[in-house]
Formats: sequence, C-alpha cells, structure tokens
Amino acid sequence: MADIEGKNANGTGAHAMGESALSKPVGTAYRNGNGHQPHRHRLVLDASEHVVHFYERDESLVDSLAAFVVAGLDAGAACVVVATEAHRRQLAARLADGGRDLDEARAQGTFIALDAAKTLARFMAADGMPDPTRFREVIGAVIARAAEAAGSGERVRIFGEMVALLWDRGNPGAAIRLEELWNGLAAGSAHPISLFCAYPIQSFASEAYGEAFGEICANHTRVIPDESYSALTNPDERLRAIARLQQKAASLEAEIAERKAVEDRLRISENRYRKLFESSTDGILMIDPDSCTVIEANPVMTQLLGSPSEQLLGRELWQIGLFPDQQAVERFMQAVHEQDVVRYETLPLPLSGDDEGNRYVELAGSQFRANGHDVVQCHLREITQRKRAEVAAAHLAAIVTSAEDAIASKTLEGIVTSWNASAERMFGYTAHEMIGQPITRLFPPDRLDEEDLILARIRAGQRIEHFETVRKTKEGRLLDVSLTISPIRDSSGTIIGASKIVRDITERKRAEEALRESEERLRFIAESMPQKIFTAKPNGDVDYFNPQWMEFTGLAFEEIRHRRWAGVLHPDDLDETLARWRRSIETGEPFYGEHRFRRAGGDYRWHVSRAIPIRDDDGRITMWIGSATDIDEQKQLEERQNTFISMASHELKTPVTSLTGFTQILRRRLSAQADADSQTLRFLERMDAQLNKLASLIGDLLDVSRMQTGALAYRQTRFDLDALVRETVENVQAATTTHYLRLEGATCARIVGDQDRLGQVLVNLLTNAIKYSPQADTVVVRLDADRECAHVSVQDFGIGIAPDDHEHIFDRFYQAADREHNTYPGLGIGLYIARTIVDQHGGRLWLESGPGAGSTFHVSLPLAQTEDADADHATHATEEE
Amino acid sequence: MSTPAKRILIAEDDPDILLVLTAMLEDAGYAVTATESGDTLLDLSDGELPDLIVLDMLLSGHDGREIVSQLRARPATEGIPILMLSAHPAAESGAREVGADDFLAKPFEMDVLLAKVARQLC
Repeated sequence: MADIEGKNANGTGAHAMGESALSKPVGTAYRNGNGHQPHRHRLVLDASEHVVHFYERDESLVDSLAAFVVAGLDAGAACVVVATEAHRRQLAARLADGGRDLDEARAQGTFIALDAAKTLARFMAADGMPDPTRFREVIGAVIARAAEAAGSGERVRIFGEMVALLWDRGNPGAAIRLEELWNGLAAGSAHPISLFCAYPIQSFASEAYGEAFGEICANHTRVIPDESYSALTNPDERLRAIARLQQKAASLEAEIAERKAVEDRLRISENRYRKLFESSTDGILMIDPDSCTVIEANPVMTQLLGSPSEQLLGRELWQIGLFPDQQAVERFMQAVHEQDVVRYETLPLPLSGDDEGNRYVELAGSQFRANGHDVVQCHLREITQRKRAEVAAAHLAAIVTSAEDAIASKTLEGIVTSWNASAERMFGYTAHEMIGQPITRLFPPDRLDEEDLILARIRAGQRIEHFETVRKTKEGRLLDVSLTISPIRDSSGTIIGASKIVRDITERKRAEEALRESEERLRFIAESMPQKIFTAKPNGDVDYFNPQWMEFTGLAFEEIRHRRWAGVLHPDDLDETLARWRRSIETGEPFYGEHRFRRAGGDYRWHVSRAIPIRDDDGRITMWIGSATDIDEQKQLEERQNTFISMASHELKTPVTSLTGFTQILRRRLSAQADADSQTLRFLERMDAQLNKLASLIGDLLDVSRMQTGALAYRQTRFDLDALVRETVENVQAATTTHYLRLEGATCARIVGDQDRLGQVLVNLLTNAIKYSPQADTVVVRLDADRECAHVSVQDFGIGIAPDDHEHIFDRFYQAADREHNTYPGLGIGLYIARTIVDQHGGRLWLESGPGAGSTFHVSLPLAQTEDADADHATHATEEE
Repeated sequence: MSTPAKRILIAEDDPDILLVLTAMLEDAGYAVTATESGDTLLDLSDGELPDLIVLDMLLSGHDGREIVSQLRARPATEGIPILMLSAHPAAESGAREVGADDFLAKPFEMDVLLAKVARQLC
C-alpha cells in the first residue's frame, strides 16, 4: 500500500508515475447501485489521520465521503459528518444507491450528521477566529457521543468542511487555525479519531493562496488526491502541485469514465436511432441549418430523390431536387427555425427521375438540438399513389355526380351509402334524406320482395342488368325503371355492397305503348278496309297481305307471300307485271300496274295495283306499301264501251256509205244536165259536205276505240314532210271559203312514219283553227326544222284557250266552250287522237295560247335518221309506253 | 262501132251500197252485174267472167279474203283484177296479201272508186 505521507517533506515517498493508489482496487468492494464501478480513488485510513480532500466536483467529494463513512460503519466505527446540507443530501443519496440505509446507523448513534455552518457558529468568536475552548467543548461532546456508540476500540471518523466554509468566507487564517485546533483535538483525544476535511479546489485558484495552501496541506497527514511527484524542489510547492495534479487527474479519470458511460448509453441510443433511420418507410433527411447542406439521407430518401446517398451528402438543400428553387429552400429553413414543425401536405418532386409523371410527397420538417448542434430533420412520405387514387376517386365522383343516370350505392343490408344528383332529381329525395336509409323506401309495396332477390344475387357476386321494374318517388309517383346493379368489392375482393344505376324508362315505355297502339290502329284499318293492302320488304318480298287477299284468292298467307302472289296473276299479265315490280324495287319509283288476279272460284278479275316506298331519315327504303283495287267491273265496262263504239262506228259506216254514194251520184247526174237547178245542186253539195263530216266523225270514233284497245295500226314510210303539209293545206283550203290558209317556211325534212295519220293530225289542227276563229279570216302554217326535229305550227286568230285548259284539251271527250259556254260542235276527240298519233311518232304536240289571243298548235317530229331504210310495215302501237 | 263495155261484177250484200255502186259504175259506162253471194263468184262460167270484180270484205258473214284466195286458185279467175271494199282501213294489207289488186275503204268518194276501177281495167 503506497501512501503519500503528507508530512514527509523530502518527497522520497514519491511513487512511480502511473502507479498510484488510484490504480489499486480497494479492499472493500464497493459498487454503487447502478452496478457501475465507482470512482477509482479510495480512501484508506489507518491510525489517526487527518486527510484533506481537494475536490473539483461534488461527486468526487461525495465519493470519498461515502467511502469514508461506509468503511467506518463496516468496521464498527462511528461516523460524524459535519457538512453542508447539499453534501449531506448527496451523501445520503449515494449511500442509498449502494443500498446503505443510514437510519439504522443514525438510530444506533453510529452516524451523526451535523450542519457545518450551524456547528461552526457555536464556537466562532466575535473576532472571526474559532474559540479553542468552545471548540473543544462542542466537538468534544460530539466525539464523546460518537465514541459511546462505536464499538470499543474503534475509531470515530469525523468529516468536517467547516474549514472550507471559513476559507470561503475569506478568512484563510481562521481556516488554518481551525485545522490546528482539529489536529490538537485529535492528538489529545482519548479516542482514536480519523479526520477528513475537504476544500473545493477552486478556492485555491488564486496564487495569493499559495502559502495558505501549503499551510493547510501541512496540517494534514495526507492530501487527496495523492500522487507522486518528484520534480518540484519546494516541498510546499510540490505538495500543492501534487494535490492540484492529483485532483485534476482524478477529475479527468472520473470524467473519462463518465463520458464513456455516457458514450455507451449514447451508442446504444444511436444504434437504435440508426436502425430507425435506415429502415424507416419514410424518407428522412438531416440538414445542417447553418450551411443548408445534407448531413444524412436514409435509403428511402435516396430512392425518392433518385440519387445515391453519396451524391446527396454535403450537397446544398436546393440542389438535391426536393425544393423547386433556392427561394423555396430559404422559406422552408426560415419556417422550420420559427415553428415547431413545418408541414407541406403536397410537394411535387420537380426532378422525379422516372417517366411516370409527377410524384408528390408529404413533408414534415423540424429543427432541434442534438449533441450541442442544431439540426433540421425532414420526413418525407411519398403520396403519389394516394394522390393518384384521390384524383381517380375525385374523377369517379365527378362522373357519378354529373351522370344523367341516377347512381346510388348500398350496403349488403340494403342501406343507402351514396346518392348522386340525378338520383335526387329522379326520386325527389336528397342525399341527406336517403343516405343511411334502407333502399326499400323507394319500393312500391308490391315489389318489396325484389330486394331480397337482388341482395342474394349481389352477395353471390352476380351482376343484374337491365332489370325492368317499378319504383316510387318521394311524391308517390310510380316510375318505370331499368336497373343495373353490380357488387362493390373492397381491395381484398370481398363484396361489401352494391352499386345501382337507375334509368327512367317511363318515356320509353310510353313511346312503346303509343307505338303499339298506333300499330294496332293501323292493323285494324288495314284489316277492315275493303281494299287489298300489302306491305313488302325493300327487296320486294311481300311480308303482309291484309285479310282481303286471302278471302279473294281463297289461299293462305303462306301460299302467296314473298313472291308467290305471282301464281295468282293471269298468265298474260305475268311478265309485264313482274317487270314493272322489279323496276320499282330497283329504282324506288312508285309501282303501277293493271292486271288480272285469279279469284278463289278460278275466274280472273282486273285490278289496278299501286305501291309506294317508305323511306327512313337517311332516304333508304325501309318498306313498300301498296294496294290493289278490283276494277274488273270498270274494265269490263270499258271493254264493252270500246266494243260498242267499234261496232257502232262500223255499223254507222254502212248507211253513211250508201248515203254518200247516192248523194254523189245525184250531184254528178244533175250537174250533167244543162238545165240543172242551181239550188238543187247546192243542196246536194251541202249534203255531200255534211256526209263527209259524218264519215269523218265516225272514223275518229273508230280510231279512238281502237286506240283504247291497242288495235290501231301505224304504217312506217319515209316521206317528205313539206309535201304532205302542202297537200293537206291545199285540200283543207279547197273545202274552206271563210279563211285563207297561209303557208310559211319549209322543213326540208324527211320523216319516217304513217303519212296518212300525220296528215290526219294536220287536218285536225287546221279544221280546229278555222272552227275556233270564226271572226278571223287567216290561219298561218309555219314550217321549220333544227338538227333533230321538224317543226310545224298552226296559228289561228280566234278566241284563244285559257291556260287552265291547255292540258285538258288533249283529253278524250273534252269539249271546248266559248265565253257564253256554248260548246263547239264535235265529239272532242280530235286532239286526243292527234296527240296519240304524234306521241307514237316520238314527237310532241303542244299549245301556245291565251284568252282572246288566238292559239298556236305546235308539232315537232324527229327527223328521219339516215340509216333508216324505207320501210313499209305496220307496227302495233300499245298504249303503255 | 263502140268498144263493148267492160264488165264489172260487184259482190256486195248491202242492197243500198250495191245500188250506189251499180249506179256509179253504170253512169261511168260500165256493164255491171251484181251478186250478194260469194258462191256465185266461184260458180261463174266462162261466158260470165267479168273484167273486174268489186268484192266486199265481209260478204254475208263470210270473209272476203277466202273468196279471193279461191278465185286466185282457179285458172279461170286467177287473172281477173279484184278491188276489195271494207269499212276497216286496216284490212288493206290483208286483202293485198291474198291477191287483191286494190282496196277501197268505206265510205268512199265516187271519184276515187272510178279512178281505181279505171286503173284496173286498162
């Protein structure tokens, strides 16, 4: 055991460096309650010692003191501690840490604690120096008491820092004196005493106290900390230096140990923090607020910024792509400095580094102090997905809100969870009124059981589409609706509810009903009217015959549909009718035809059929509608009429022939007589003329009837038109005395046609012109031709024909009338015949006239083609051309 | 000495028309005989053969064309000129087809009749 003998002034008790009492473990193993090794310096006392402890910190004092007390108590000694309140408290705490309870010792009297200041006051004299007599009394009494409690032969250990108090009060002399008194007491005491006092080393900081320091040291047997130091020659100096150094060393060691413990704690704490830092799902960024540079960035952060951490550390904050610019960084740093936490709910990452479009983060930053430095820590959480989900949800919500259809959703129990604006409109309930309510609120009573069926299907994951049913509005109005209901699933696929789209089909149903009614009505009309009605598809297949057909033909619809109706046509009419029908189908032109259909009894009846196409908005034919009317009666009547006319005119010819003959014979014979009576001759002449008219009329009638039946024959010859016109004009002029027929121009045309018939036309026009201009005296015939046609016109200067009549005059049996409504003589068939003949020749006959302005009849005939050979054959003309 | 008059045989069943025809032709200086029957025409003896036959298309219900055909088929009568009469102008082609030399539609002009007859007899 190496000790430094305080009184050993020659310094030979010096130790080798580094081998101090400090490095030696204590006999009594002493640990504080934390399990830590206590401070290294130990206190070992033997004999009467007076130890002084110069302590830099309270802890080291308390350590020494605690060791002092513990050693004493363990050894059976009594301890007296005269200390400040603070030190007493610290001591008690230190001992309690070690599991040492002082109460027992206190009760036994082996531990006495006294207040330093109070005790000092008891023996301090007025002159500021301790009074020896009173000191001995006071302290002696205390010692005696302690000695009593201590085991026999055991020491009394006394700690006192009253000396320190005196020193602190600025009375070094008093302190030294007190030290001397202590020593004196200890020396003269019957009881062995160990003395231990302590001074804070700061008290001796000043050089001025150097001597005093030495004196104090001199008063002690040992100075703590003890250290060997041989260099100094001045023993006092040495002691002081030693003491100082030892104190310092002790402090240092204590500090080191302390720091190590702190560091250990810190390291554990650090490790924990680092683990959090590395594995956090948020990005964490540590920034030095002074330089605005990145100190740390965790893996998630580097991922978010798209740069490896090497590229981030040390970079300035505005460079790493988190903030758009330097100003933003400055604003952030400012805010973080002022506020507790700065939050950015949505920060777009300007440099996202990938091509998925914008990314967004949530940022929380705060500034705090760590290890003596300010640091700014930022937490970043990527919310791009959330944002996208938000946008998608908002989008969806917007669609639902603005949808025309009513959209609602409900839970699997049928409670409404959403209700869009269209649903509000449709049903009259607001979202507020419907959400949380059962959807059955909308059901009319007779439909309530539908909901169970619907929910059952939904639970099974099935979709319900276009389910037509009835629902009720807030006002109680019933709606025809079409529902489409789909299950709603959560992210794990579990069905959590249903979404419904409701479409109001009331209008559609109404329209359908109206259409049905309309169709019913049309069907009724079609079925009950006497006419035969049919409809056909655009391709000509008949798809509907009204009942009249089946009744007439005696056949079933199946037997006459599509094109089978051709089977009831008269064979002679088959080709023509089918050709016409085909043409109409192809061209879309209305269909017209006269033909015979076979009746159930087998006989044929004439019908006239008409059909028109029905087109859609684009002009495409969607169907044909037609009717067939029985005209058999009329047709037969017509035939009989024609037959009658034919027969009649034929019959009439016979008497006319003989009349004409006799008249002519008489004229001839009479004019051969010299003394013929002129009047008689004249009469005969009149008779002849009238008979000619009669013959002419009869001939026209016959022509007309033949034209109707298609029995009129036309010859085809190539002739000179001008010659025909000239000849005709001469003939008519010869029979006319009232008018002068003037011929102008020439056609120089050759015509292919029936010369006689065309002559007939001219005669008709000329005689009309004369007849209808009784007040005039001239008729002008003009001839002209162009490259394609020859043109003949006959102009009279008579009463004219009103424009309304212009077309009618060419009708069969049309009677023209004068202003007094006297019809002109004639059957009214001349122009009809004329037109028919001209038409047959491919020409045109038309009228130019006005009331009182005379009339001009124009005839144009196509010129003969050079290739046409002279032909002399008759062709049958038909009326259907 | 006058040339003997040409002999014309008229076959016509309407008595008035027959009268007219006879008067017209006799006035013109022809010798006219008449018959109402087609059979008579076919039974003519050599001494009775006319220089011209005027034949109605419809003779007592018989088709005049038949008669013409038959006349043309007999050597005795095949060279005799035949003028056909009809109320139907359209019958002309049919008449010429069977061998008639000319045709006249009823009612007819006397001048026209005489002209046609003259043409056939020269």
